[in-house]
Amino acid sequence: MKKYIIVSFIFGLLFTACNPNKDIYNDINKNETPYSETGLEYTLTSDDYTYAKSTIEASATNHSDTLWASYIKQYSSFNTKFSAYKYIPSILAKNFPALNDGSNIVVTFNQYIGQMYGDIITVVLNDNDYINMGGDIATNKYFSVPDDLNKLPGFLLSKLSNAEANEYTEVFYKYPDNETIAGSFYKFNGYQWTLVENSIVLAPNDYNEMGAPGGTKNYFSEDAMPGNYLPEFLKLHYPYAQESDELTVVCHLFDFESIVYAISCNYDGSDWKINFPGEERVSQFKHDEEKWYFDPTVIFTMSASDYQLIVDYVTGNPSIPNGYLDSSHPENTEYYYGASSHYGNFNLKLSYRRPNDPLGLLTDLSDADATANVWERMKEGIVVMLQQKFPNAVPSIEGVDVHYFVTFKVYDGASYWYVIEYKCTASGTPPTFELVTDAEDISGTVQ
Amino acid sequence: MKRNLFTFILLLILSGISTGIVAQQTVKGIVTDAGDSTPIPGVTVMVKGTDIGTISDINGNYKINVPQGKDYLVFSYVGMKTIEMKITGTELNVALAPENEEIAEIMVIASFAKDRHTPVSFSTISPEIITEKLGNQEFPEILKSTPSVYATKEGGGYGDSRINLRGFDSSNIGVLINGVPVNGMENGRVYWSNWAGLSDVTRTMQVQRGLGASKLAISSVGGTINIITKTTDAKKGGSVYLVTGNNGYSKTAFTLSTGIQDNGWAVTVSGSKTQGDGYVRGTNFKGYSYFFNVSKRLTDNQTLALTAFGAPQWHNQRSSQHFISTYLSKPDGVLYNSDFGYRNGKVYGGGYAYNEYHKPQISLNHNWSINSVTNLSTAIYASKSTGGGRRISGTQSNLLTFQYPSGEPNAETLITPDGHLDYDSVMKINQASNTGSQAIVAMSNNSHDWYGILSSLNTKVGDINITAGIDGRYYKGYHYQVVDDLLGGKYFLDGANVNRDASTPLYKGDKFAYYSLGEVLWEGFFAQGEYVAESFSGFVSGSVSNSSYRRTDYFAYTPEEGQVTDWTNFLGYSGKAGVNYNINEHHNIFANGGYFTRAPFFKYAFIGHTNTFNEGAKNERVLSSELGYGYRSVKVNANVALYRTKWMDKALTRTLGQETANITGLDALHQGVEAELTYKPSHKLTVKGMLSVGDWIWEKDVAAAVYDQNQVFMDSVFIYSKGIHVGNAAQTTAALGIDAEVLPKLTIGVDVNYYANLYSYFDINSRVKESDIGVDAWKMPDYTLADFNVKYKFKVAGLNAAIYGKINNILDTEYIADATDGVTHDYATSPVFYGFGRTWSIALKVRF
Repeated sequence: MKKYIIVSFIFGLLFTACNPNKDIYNDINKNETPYSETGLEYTLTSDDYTYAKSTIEASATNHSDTLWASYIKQYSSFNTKFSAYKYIPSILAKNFPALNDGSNIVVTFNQYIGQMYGDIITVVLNDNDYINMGGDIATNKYFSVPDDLNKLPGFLLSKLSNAEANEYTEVFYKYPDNETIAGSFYKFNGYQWTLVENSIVLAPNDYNEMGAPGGTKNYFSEDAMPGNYLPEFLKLHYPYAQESDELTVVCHLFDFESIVYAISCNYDGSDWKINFPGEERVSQFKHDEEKWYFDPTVIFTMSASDYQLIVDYVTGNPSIPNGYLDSSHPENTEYYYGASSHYGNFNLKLSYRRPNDPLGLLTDLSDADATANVWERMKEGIVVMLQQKFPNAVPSIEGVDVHYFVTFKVYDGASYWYVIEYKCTASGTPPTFELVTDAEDISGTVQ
Repeated sequence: MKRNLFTFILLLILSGISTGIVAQQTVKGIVTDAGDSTPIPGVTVMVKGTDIGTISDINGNYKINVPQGKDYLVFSYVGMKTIEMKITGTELNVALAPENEEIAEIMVIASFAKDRHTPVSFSTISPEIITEKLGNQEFPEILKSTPSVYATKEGGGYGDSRINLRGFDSSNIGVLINGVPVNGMENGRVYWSNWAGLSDVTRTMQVQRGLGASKLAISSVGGTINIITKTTDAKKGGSVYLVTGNNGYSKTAFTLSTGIQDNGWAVTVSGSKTQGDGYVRGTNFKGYSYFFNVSKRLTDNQTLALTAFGAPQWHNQRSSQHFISTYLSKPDGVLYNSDFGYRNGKVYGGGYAYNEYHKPQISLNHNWSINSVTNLSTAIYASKSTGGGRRISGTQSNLLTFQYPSGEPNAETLITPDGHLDYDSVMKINQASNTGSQAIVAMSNNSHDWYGILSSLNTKVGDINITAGIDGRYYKGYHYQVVDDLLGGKYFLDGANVNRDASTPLYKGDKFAYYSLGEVLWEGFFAQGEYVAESFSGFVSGSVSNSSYRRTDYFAYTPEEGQVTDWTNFLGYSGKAGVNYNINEHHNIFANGGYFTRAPFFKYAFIGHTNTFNEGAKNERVLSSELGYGYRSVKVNANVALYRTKWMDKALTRTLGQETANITGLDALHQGVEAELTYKPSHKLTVKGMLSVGDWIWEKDVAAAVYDQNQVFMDSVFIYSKGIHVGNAAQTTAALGIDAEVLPKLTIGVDVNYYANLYSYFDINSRVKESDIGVDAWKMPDYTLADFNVKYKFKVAGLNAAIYGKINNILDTEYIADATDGVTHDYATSPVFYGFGRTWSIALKVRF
């Protein structure tokens, strides 16, 4: 009996000898192999925009911040005041709490690209203005017939002598009853002002009609968002609207000071909808073990259309003779940079390059030197492609340098894959790209 | 018919009963000591072949019931030879002789402790236990099941193990071989690689914890490890021992003894060769050991013995600890060794990763029984060592080294794609250099000459045993680096020698970097008085020692300046006393206490590596006391001890400008309880248990103001050590072992060891940050290990033979054995050595 007790005691002890370092290993694994996923896609939802609004409001110190924060929620879009790149990281952290270092997500979101109408000037006709228009208007100091409006373009030309093309203005004038004020919306095209079609300008009466949003003030604010009033207002005023009718509503917004805002609306058949002037954007965010961050890196493999950009450039470039185009397929293959959209590669085989060299760049060069020469020109061709593909490239977005990793195929008798890295160093026409990492052979890793 | 049957059955039953009644007899007698005829209480008397036993009483009397058919009684007592006596009648008186009679004199010189007599805590390990349990482990690991021991293999190289006893390292453990102290004379340390052959030639071994019983002035703060080698074996014969094990381990050993011849001569010769690839990557090794003993009985009262032994070896090592995350990231995992590369296809250890050493020791022992109570034992011994360890030196030594203690590579460290030191690339650099090799392989030599005499006179005056003796030693250590391999360069430049032009090209064999000698002259006197009565024994002993140091530096000084210092002297003394009281044949209690001061080690006597004396160097002091209890019975042996050791004024120096301050007050208190139990329910089963719980703490903060020679205040020194646990040894250890004879001739054993409260190593001198106040070094995970062994005895061609199998860490537990505390005091910044996984060995021993 004693023996059995002793033996079982020993076995008990032995089982406690399992893994003394278990806690340490768990800790290390947690820190060093974080959960990650790549290739995810996500579109921000209205909840996310609401979350962004709440986050901003929590630390908002002034009226303006609060207003624009509320626009994020109202229009499901980030705006010029609150950039998507700053707030999407916290949205991702909330929605994907488990993802860690090494993860990346491509996020689709709305970004207000700025008022399409720029800074709209407000002109309220005063007595002198009426006098300067002459005629009955000068006497009445109001507009009495619709034709009177025709005086405005000329008037604006002299009043706003420094106007530049694509500037807008709203003009307020009085009706014969000397009280009602109305407004119209004009655009300057560089030499004359014209009325913007399908536009209305909200006047004090309209605000009153809408229940004087914001109290006695004649503007919208974060407490009285245009989206909560305009649809009803427009429905009442345009009961015969047809589907896809559009209207630009010029109104005032209180943002610490009153600003003029032109809202584009359209009718979807049953209701008026506000088109917040934003565009959909798709950007990549990555996780670096601490947080999400915007990564504007462009990574792509050259497709046929990319090679075609180079061919087109060669075709259209007067300093490159047409003799560099392939005789059988001049529309898709050239031998100055070596690009071919037909084959989807750069052809560096000298037996093709030497015969198609009207400028004699390869004559007198040994095979080794000629190969080096066509290699360098191929890299110039990649820059040409980048300039055509990304004409609006900028050196950095949101403070992050923009790098381009280009994967391309080379043929010299056999086919090889390479990847090369460039950085945009200056925007312009065309933008400037600089080599960051020279071409690296990745043939073994590409199927 | 029925009646016949009934009668038959009745008779059968009755005869059975009668057999029971009639066939048992009572045997009694008295057990005495063969030497002085005094009765011995507590002797175990067993009926051979049964589990029936008793112990002799306080007067040595015993009485036992012997069943019919059993003819022999077995008498055993710790320290005495076990004998079997045939039962011839109802009375049987027996005289027991000491177990190790042949080595009795050496045991006296070595102060071997005797059970229920010497008032110290001790554990004795027999050579058979060594053969069964050691396997291919390191020699100090044989003690791991004894209390308060923490022994590890450190980097894992052959002989690179270390042992801590009660939390103290080898500079605070006295190690004696045949009574001769072997701790290094300059730093007090013991390098087990010097004694690699010990396991084959150990006759008996004892670890005495605490002050111990030695009369010598040795640094027994943690304890004493007392090893007695084979000397004159009475019997003629020998043995052959063959071992094979994991990672190519193989050992071949033999012993031959002539036995004591008629002419009084006896010769014993022993030799072995051991080699292997090493468990850790890049730790292959080869070692030989030899042992030679010749003795002659000069007269009836005098014997002379010459003993020589040595263990020349070379071994590749692992010296860099690494972070746990580093090991996990390497293909070799916990076997990862950063410190070697390949040259010509062979493993080539780099700096601190290759060692070769040979330290032969010769002693001449003379023993003279002057009369029946007086004995003079003298040992004259000498040891000369050769060898050293590899270093990487040069202006670009960073190319082949790793950072200490993190084990991380330097920015310049060159590593091959598969993760080894890149000697080839370094050779190219050296070849291309116009100023000679930028990184070379050097040997760091720390050889020595050591001569000593140890003589003690034992006599009896009345009831008191008196011992007095001298312990004299002269030691000369040679310290230099020598160019070993230019690694492809044409020559090597070194400007460290003021007596040599810095532009002198140096080649293999030339000394560089430093060349100094350390001489130690030691004179010690010791005396002890021991009073032995019937149930009581007590001793008082004292020693005085003078250490003289002299330093010679051939590189830093010109002969005109003077390269040799004067002698500087340090006096040390010790006093201790102990008493043991045998309450009866079962119980005894003991107590001991002592105080000793120790001369500072050589390096503290001088300022840095210069010939300037450290004028204020102070002695360290130790105050220790112990209380113990023992229980002996037929089936159970138990020991319990409480100890309290205070180590005071650990050497602490600070150099401020031109001044060196010696600061006192750095104290550590090591106290705890140790318990051991051996339970033998039958002669086929032994159960051993051990538990030691220690509380080892650095006691105080040190705050000292440092003044210069003009008594002007210079700076304050703070060491924030208060309450910090002593590191580098498990403060709680436990062991459970079972040995069972499962079949005739077949014994299996299982040993489980548990280690806890293990704080990583740290240098207490460096605890100067306020943010570290009260913060312990990283506490490493507790771990449990299990070992398994099997022994099978058989006969081959009429010779006694045995097969020994050993599996260490049978569960292949992955555990951390050593660590160095990092800045965040956690695993993330503390580099470690893992212990070994499962290793095994199989041995065959044939005796003839």
